[in-house]
Amino acid sequence: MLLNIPTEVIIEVLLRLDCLDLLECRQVSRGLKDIIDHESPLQLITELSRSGLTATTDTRYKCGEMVHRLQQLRKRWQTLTWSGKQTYSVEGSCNAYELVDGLFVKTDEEGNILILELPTIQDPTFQVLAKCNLGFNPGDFALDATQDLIVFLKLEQGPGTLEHRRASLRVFSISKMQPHSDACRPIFNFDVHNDAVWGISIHRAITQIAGDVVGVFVCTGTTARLMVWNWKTGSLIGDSKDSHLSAAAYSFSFVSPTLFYVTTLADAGVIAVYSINPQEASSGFLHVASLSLPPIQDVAVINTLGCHSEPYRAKKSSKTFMTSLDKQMHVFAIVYISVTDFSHFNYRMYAPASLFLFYHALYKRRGSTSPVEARWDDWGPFRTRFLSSSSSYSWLRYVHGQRVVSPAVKNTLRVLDFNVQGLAPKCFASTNDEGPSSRMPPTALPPGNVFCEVIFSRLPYFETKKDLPTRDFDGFMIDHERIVALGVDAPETSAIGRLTVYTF
Amino acid sequence: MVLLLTSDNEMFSVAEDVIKRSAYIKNMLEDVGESDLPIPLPNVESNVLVKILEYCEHYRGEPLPASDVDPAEIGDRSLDIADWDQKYMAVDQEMLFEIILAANYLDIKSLLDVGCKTVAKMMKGKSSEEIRTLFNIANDFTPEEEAQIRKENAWAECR
Repeated sequence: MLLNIPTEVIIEVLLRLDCLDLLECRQVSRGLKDIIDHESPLQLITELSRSGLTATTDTRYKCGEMVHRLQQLRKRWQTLTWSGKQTYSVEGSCNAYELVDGLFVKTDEEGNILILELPTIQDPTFQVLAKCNLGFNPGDFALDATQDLIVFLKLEQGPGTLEHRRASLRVFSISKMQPHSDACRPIFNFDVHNDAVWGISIHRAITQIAGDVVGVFVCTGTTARLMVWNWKTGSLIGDSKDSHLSAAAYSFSFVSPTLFYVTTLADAGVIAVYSINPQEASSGFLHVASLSLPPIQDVAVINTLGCHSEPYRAKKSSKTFMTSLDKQMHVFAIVYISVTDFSHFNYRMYAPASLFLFYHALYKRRGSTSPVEARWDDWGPFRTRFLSSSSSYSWLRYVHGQRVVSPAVKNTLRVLDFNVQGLAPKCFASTNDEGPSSRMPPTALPPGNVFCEVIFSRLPYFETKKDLPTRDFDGFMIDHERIVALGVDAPETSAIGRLTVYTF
Repeated sequence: MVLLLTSDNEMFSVAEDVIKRSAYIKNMLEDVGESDLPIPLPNVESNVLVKILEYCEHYRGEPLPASDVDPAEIGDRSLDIADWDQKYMAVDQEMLFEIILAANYLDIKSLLDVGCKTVAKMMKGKSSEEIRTLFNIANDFTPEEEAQIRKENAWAECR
């Protein structure tokens, strides 16, 4: 019956299936296999899935060209073979920077902002989209080019009081560099609590955008505060002042517009997952799960639990493919200190967003009001990779989608790719297959100064390495089609100096 | 009123704003203008046309959807079907494919969409063997070819 209807109608049916269904259909009959293998819109479904990506709204490409580009990107990343290399000299100092949607943005203490469109394989030039003065000095900022949105965190220079310092978020349009027209209120004011012992010192300030919401996390010595607003309606969704954020809170990140986590140094380290309702004012943060890190020795303490992932984009980008939300990797930088000799032990843990989405779903399914308490053994060994690290990051934006670029060590570029679906089948054929990249065996961290027992982790990934022939770089940033290498010429200043872009 | 003549020689008289959901007939009426001659539908039987007219009647007055394959939509098409449409499509497989064929021939985009979604939903999550049984399709692969395809598909199981 099915095969009696015209091919174009069969294609219409198949277009409504996902990749796994299409792969089953390939096994049904020659007729169906031929259609699936030769129709580019259907190939695009399987190629996007294989790359862990979603489509772009770029109208310059047809389905067939997108399929080709996806295959090309996969091959080039597996061998770290870039097709172009361009360098740009960045003037002035840098106190905050971003790399989102092909844009490199930086600000300095004088309030100057530079928005640079980075080269692509089609257009190997740097385009200065904006270079102007904001009239204020942003401490940090976040942007979402798909919403033409940039949010600045500004610390007021004004007097303040002994207990508080005034700060604000400013919601701007990237293209106009003035308050965003979709925002009811372009400024959100709030107080930063001064630390009683250390005085005015902000240790960490993180600003993030996820769709309609913008969150700011400010950590001053011993206190931490997280506020989330709906930037369009101007209403405050939640404030940790009201919903009790642990004093040991270390960092924060959105997973989606309705889900975020806060890392805390309580016990041996905990990732506390919260859900929010972006459309309801003052609805607060709902604690849905607590994920405990591995137990540690009595003589060890956790000192750092940083987190980092690709910035969220609200809409499909017109410029790039986008990572499927559940596939995005979150990287946790962990430092333990031995209290006997104060030696440091550095680790990095890699977890996909699907881990946090899973616990959110589990919480909803349970129908209980108390958060899900998950021990390391419940979630860590199979859903993460826990690796010891000898180097640390000095620049952010080192993770994009499922790829993570390691810190710059001499001239070596190292990329960890958690999409093993991208590997050619032959890489799985045997363990001694000497390809440019191969799948890593499970990791076992031995017990000792930090851990009480062996810490296993086996989230699959593969690693690709390449030596760069040029001078040393100080940091690498990554997006889905670029490595951006930073070369600081004068380390005593906060200037970036050189920006070398490798396009894939 | 518009006159339609089915393949089994039955004549139907239909209100113009009902049948205009068919882009094929709408274009024909615009090209030919007012005419008393029936429009022949050699690919549509009367029992199928009754079903098609039931659909057009239900959606009478609703705006016509514009649709084109947009690469940006690839991969996230929803399989949600409105309640009325689900009941409408609760027919045997033969009629389902007749409706789809007629919707395709008469160029009724929204009906073709619902039909394709219904078939896609039937296939979703099924194994190749289950799909063969569902649509009575013969397996025309050799065992070697089957093994080869499984190998080509292997990447999707590598997690």
